[in-house]
Amino acid sequence: MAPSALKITPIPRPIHLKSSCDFQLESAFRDERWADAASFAQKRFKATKDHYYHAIEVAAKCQSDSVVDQSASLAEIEKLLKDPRATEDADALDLYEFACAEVRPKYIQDIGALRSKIYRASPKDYALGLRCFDACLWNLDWKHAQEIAALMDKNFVKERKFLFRNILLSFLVATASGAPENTRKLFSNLAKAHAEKAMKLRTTAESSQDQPPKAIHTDEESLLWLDIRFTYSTTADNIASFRQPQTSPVAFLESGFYKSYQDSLKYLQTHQEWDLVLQISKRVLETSIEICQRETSVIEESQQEAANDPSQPGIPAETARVQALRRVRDGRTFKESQYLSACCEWGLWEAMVAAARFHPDSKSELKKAGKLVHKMIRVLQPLEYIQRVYHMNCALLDMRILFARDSGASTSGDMSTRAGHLVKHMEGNCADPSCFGSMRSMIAQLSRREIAPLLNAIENNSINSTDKLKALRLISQALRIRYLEATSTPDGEPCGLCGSKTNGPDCIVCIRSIALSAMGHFSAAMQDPDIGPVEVIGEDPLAILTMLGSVCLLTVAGAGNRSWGPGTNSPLFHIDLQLFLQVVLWLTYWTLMKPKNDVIRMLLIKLLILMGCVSQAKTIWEHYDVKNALVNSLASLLFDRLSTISPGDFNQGSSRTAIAPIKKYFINAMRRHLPSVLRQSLENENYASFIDELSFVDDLSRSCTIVMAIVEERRAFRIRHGRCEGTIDEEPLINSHTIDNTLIDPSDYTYLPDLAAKTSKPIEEMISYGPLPTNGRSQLSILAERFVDIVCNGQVKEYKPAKSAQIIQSEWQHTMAACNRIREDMGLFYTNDSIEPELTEPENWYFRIVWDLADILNIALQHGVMSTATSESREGTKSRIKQVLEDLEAQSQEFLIMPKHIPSKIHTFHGVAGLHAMGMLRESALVVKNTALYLIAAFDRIKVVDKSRASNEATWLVSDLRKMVAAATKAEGIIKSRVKLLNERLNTTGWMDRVEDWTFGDYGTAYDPEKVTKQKVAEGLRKFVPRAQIEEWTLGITDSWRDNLRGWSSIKFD
Amino acid sequence: MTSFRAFRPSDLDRFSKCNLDPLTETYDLSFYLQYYSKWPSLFQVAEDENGNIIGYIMGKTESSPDYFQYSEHYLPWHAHITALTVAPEARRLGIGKVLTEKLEASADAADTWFVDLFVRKSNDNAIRFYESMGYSVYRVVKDYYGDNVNDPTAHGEDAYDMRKPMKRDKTLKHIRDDGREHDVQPEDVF
Repeated sequence: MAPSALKITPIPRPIHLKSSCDFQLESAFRDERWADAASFAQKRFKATKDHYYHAIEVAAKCQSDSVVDQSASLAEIEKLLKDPRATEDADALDLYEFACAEVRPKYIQDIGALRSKIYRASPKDYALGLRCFDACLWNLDWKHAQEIAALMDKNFVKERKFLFRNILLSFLVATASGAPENTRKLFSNLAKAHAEKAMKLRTTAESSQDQPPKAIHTDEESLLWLDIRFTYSTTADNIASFRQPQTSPVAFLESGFYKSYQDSLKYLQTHQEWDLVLQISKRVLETSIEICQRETSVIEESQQEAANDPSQPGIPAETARVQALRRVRDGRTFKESQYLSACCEWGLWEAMVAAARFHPDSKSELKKAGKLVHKMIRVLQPLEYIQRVYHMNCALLDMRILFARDSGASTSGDMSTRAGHLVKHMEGNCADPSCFGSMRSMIAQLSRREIAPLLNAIENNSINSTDKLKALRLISQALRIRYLEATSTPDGEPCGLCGSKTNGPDCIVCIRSIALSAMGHFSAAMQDPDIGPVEVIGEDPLAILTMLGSVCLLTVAGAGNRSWGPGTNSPLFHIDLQLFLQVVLWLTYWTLMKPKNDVIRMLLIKLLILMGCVSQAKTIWEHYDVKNALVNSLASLLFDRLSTISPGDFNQGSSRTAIAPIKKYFINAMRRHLPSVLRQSLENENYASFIDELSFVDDLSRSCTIVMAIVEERRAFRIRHGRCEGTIDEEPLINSHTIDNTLIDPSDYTYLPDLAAKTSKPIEEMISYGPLPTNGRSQLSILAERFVDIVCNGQVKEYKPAKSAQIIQSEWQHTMAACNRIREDMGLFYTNDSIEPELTEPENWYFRIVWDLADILNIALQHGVMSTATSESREGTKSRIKQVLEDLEAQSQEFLIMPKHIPSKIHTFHGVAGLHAMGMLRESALVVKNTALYLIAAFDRIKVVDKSRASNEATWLVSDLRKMVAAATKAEGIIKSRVKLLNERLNTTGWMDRVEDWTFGDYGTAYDPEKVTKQKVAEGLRKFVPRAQIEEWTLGITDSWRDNLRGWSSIKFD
Repeated sequence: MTSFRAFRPSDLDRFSKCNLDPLTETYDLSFYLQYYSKWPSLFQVAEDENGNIIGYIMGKTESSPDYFQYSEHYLPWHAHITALTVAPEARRLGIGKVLTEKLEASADAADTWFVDLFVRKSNDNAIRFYESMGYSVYRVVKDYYGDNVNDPTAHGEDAYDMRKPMKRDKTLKHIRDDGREHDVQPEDVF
């Protein structure tokens, strides 16, 4: 399916003046001396009356810093675009495009229309056609690119590429978002008709040599045909087509159209055409087996001949075999090669097994499918070295077939047949890091009755193993199975392992026991010289125990459980501090010992952010060297909400901010490189690649990471300096964003331990500083930024235009309309409170306050400033202001809340863990204050320009506005006091002892259910973490807190 | 489970298992997309059951420019391996070999004479890997790499230009038995 229209426009196309221009003008233009260039061009125009020079003048003026020159030039372009004399040459159009690309991109469509018109006037001009086409392509103007491609297809019939460009662009026009229904219909019909004709030319040709030029010749062209079919043809039609010999998946495979083969086979699976899937997969395998058998015979004969050849006495058998093998491979036909490249594919095997499951005699078909795959591997062996990965895939397939055939009823003693095979498989492959992951779906299928004997068998194998590493690997497997079970209790049922009553899918009794078991085994292994210090190849069971133990302890500590909600100001609010710190110490110990374990490092980074140790988290993060293509998927793992936790951490080296490289990545990907990448695809006739690239960049433009990056950077600046820098509309990555553009979270969370059952809370939700990025949160963030821009940047103090009253009225009209839109758009997310689970509590306060302020600003301008207020509008405004003041007061009070029943010295910990709440309070205070100041300034301005207004007219509102300023100042005072208090406390001595005491001391109350757990974990940690390392760790934590608070101390309050 | 398929741009968001490995050379997004836009069949990936990319190979087909054709260093139509990487957790399973075979199949389909690649002279593991797949050293490119991983004081490090003949080269005219004896300068290499 083609993507919707991109909202982020590319950078302007580079432009060079015609060679006929003189050096003086050309160099002024090239050196961006715009005033000179405009002046020179003006003179040339006067002298020659050549419109090209006028176009240069206008383009140069458009680049000017003078707003007046710029606006005048844009108006001139608008006029020129309607003047046939001025637009008859492509060079002038290039200049107009260059002139308005950044400032008035909507003209691009008009210029595209003129390009199409110019080419229509000279349809035989090949170079002109290409030039106009390329220009439209650069600007993602599909409509006019299609017109030009269609005309070029008609005029240059021998060039097949124009046909496929026409098909592709017709498809893009038809699927563009916002295209009118008649356009969709017309262009979809065009795309389909042309594509079908091209495929028909291919299928009706007598042989591949006889295919006419305009037939489909390549996989990429075939994929374009498939894309169009999948979009516009009915499922029945498509299936019927795949049943035809010339357009079946097998025909694609034999033609070397590998992606078309895979896509069409996948389509049949998606639509459950199991008989056809089974038939195709069997055919591919059986044909491959025949090829292998034939080739094996040839090799054997060759070897025999070589052995008996008197002219080559003594030739080693292996050499003869290698020579024969090469001859056989070189002699393979194209078709044979295609079959052999497909026959070991997991996708094919999986398709066959899936289809066999739906066969009326599924047991028998599944067995046959397994046999066929084994035979395939067997006959391939003499010809190719079968890589281990294929053997592993085969073993996995066997397990899947077994599970599909066996419901678990058949038993051997206590153990079901399938559980028995699982034990064997897991024992045999326990060193393979992917073994457990690939068995998870099958473990999940086991009944409760099957789990206990399975665990017993694995544990017994561990006990009986003389290989200590293997024994530990088996233990780690058993513990992971227990954890899967302990996190998958069905609603209303007791735990399948211990029978305890649970509240949700997690059995805390079992999870606690697994945590202690993991700690026990880890601690014992670390003291064993045969395991602890050994560098492990393959799966490292100690790393697994660290991950599992940590995740279990975090669950027991309450992570992710009741993290946010009314009355909570940090994700650690309800967490058991001691267990949490014990986990951090365990992970730190492991990271220092084996810094290459990326999963554990990432887990540690997330926990350090939760506890406010941002500088430490950043230090570890920097080792990852996240750059280039990983930015979109990983950046939010560190940076999300970081501006409010540690605003001081946004300056980095020579970059302006830590976010700058992230923004640069997106700008390069979408604005700078996309046009050339798309052009390369077309030049190389890779039409499916073109669609994929467009679709990828479309997703990229809707990435929550972009919003996160821009909002974090702006918030950090605002929190630190109390003002805005630029407006969000100056951000080309976001300025054209609208609410109907659904944003997506592209984050790759696979770098966190994935151990729990699917029914349990994912680890990323447990350990992130608040809910993950969502469309709702990102949209609210953009809307709030737009509002902040209005109240921070909206009042121009020094601007004194001639018709000031009229201009002020017009400015406020615009502000009111913007506020109304913001209010309405935010309201969409607050309907039915559906957004709240996606926000932290402090974010919720902030967005609600902005929502109300947008309303206040709108009403106050409309009924208070622009006209005299009525008693009704006064009451409405006052009650809304009252609501905002109450909300700000509540947010301030909530920020100060400490968890109950904790020793007072732990308050500092919760203070640094709750810095995000402080950041969001600062945001709320700033927006409240700036809104009030905006309105006060508005009243002042109206009094100046409209003398008829009574001087005391706004008194009713001004007192409330002053209350808003006072409330904001009070909230800032609270922040200042908190920063001062935390700084004072952190700058006292004894912090290392204190953190150690929190981690190892006796903090459990008599009623603490985790008292024994904490003691046991502490005992375990003491056994393997050296004393010096504990001291270093406590020092690192307190230093990191101090770093963070230093950043907060540098904040400027009014 | 490991499956092999052609690369698609959305895979870039699932490259972390490969690209966070410090030994993997990473590139700007446009570099990957450029390869995909020009040579999609030479860009193949290995994927695990969760959709993570655990290995990829990226290559191109090319020949030396025409003005080079009378040079002794002229490269005829061939395929070049630009990047091959396998995630640390998925190594020693033969994934690199499967990916290379897939690229070779595309190189054969494009009727190239050979597949070539550059490797650091000190990278014994990689050299052994490619030799096991039928590649041999064709020439030594002196100081091809600006740095030397084993000797920071050295000027740079030599590269081996390794080749494997494709079906088109029936007489093996584009490979050498004594390639290690043939030194060339970086500027001789296209």
